[in-house]
Amino acid sequence: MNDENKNKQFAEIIQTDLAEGRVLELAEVYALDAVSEEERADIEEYISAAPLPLQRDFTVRLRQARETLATAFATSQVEPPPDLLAKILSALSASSAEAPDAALAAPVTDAPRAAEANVYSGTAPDSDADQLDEFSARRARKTQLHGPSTGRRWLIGAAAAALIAVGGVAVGSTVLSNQDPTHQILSASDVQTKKVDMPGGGTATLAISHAQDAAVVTMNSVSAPPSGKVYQMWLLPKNGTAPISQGTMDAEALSRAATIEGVDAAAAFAITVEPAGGSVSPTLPPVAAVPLNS
Amino acid sequence: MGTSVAHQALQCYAAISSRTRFNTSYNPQRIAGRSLCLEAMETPKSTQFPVSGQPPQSPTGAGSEDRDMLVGLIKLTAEGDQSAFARLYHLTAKRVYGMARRVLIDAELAEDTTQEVSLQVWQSAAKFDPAAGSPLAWLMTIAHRRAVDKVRSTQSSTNREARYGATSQVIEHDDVVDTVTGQMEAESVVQCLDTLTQTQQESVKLAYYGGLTYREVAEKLGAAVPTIKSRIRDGLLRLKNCLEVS
Repeated sequence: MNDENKNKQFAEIIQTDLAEGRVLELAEVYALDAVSEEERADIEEYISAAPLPLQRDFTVRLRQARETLATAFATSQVEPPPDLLAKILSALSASSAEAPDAALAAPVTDAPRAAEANVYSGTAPDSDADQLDEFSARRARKTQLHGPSTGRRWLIGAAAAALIAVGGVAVGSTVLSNQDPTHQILSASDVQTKKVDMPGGGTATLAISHAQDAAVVTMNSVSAPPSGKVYQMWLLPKNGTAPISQGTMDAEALSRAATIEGVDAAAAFAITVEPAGGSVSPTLPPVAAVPLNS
Repeated sequence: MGTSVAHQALQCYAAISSRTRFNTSYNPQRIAGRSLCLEAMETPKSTQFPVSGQPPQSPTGAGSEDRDMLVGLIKLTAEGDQSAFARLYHLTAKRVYGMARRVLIDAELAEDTTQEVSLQVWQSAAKFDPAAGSPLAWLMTIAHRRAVDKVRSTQSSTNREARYGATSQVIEHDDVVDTVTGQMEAESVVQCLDTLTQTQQESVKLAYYGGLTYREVAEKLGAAVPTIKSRIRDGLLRLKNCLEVS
């Protein structure tokens, strides 16, 4: 590589480099943004007027330089201010003349994901009204999960997750009744949360109260199970006996919180994909698993 | 399948999950871990489960499911889907803000930059071409450009040079591990950085984190301009070859 470079000595100014055919050698400096605005414009103008093979070569080298930088130098992670997303969403709406979806950016850092649970069950935000109608229509259907009665179920997913995000402090009793088992778990003093990524995006969140021997499971931005299938939840007993089903969730149920009991005796919680109606034993591998009591 | 095997397999998955970091962009460890649990399942006589062993070697294409997810979210964002945009933000904002903080230092300026980057992502998502580069490289390119523009417009050249001198830091192993969960991958980045000469590293970092032009880097280091251009080029090429960026 050193021999090659002897023929590629840089000049003092970019314009000379360009004139002497060294634009390719400038790809790295350009990728670093280590050029003045004027020099940047000169390089871009030169490339746009260059023969196609040179344009392609430059593009490849530039892309490689950018990937290298992203991998090696763009690695620091720092938590941004919690209200930043809300500001951005308002600005978006201003620029695209749509009403901002306030549900997407609740004030607590993790809550936006929770708010998405009631909006983004695979559908676009402006179909909320349709979603609600659908839920009312399904009121009569046999439910697969125990829980409070209908109508406000879709709110519960979001509110429950919002409660999780603020560590179990009750936020709004207008949404959940005090008798609601979900509410009781979430406001327990020993509630802990664990989260696991779901494939295809989204997360499953468990709010666990050992005092209550129960947990609330919420799905946030999780995609619907494949057609004809459901998600099934399991608790894995510590004593090594067979996994115990905790119920199933179809696409509609994703926007509701589920309560599971008997967590104290469990080594792990897992979610699998099963045929509609569920299975007697889990179909492995699970799509998500969370250790408990470990 | 016997219940004991199902039990052990679920425990294996749970243990793998507990070792991974939530909300990271690349997750080669988790993907590799899953295949290990599957192997364990297929050989039920095996009683060794990799619960506490060394992290497995990242398979080729590790992180590709995360990349696909990001590509999908960018596509949805391009169609005006605010939920997808919000999800994209959640997956990447720490990195964008981290970059902005590193370049700008000031939290408010970094916040402004992150907002500008996000708006640019919203407006230009349709222009993202997966064949032209990874989603993260696309995003961090935008982020870096914005950060540099802002630092140059808010600080004079001498201020930037002075400030960078005061805050420059060696990229430690842990910084890289934060975002690159596969231990093998993280080590290889640090090792590859070590293959650069001191002067190459210095020039690249001054330019990248300080927002300095090559000319300003040359001034600061008291080196000739062509020399600095060479160091930057050679340093990045060496890094690229070492990391096998294709």
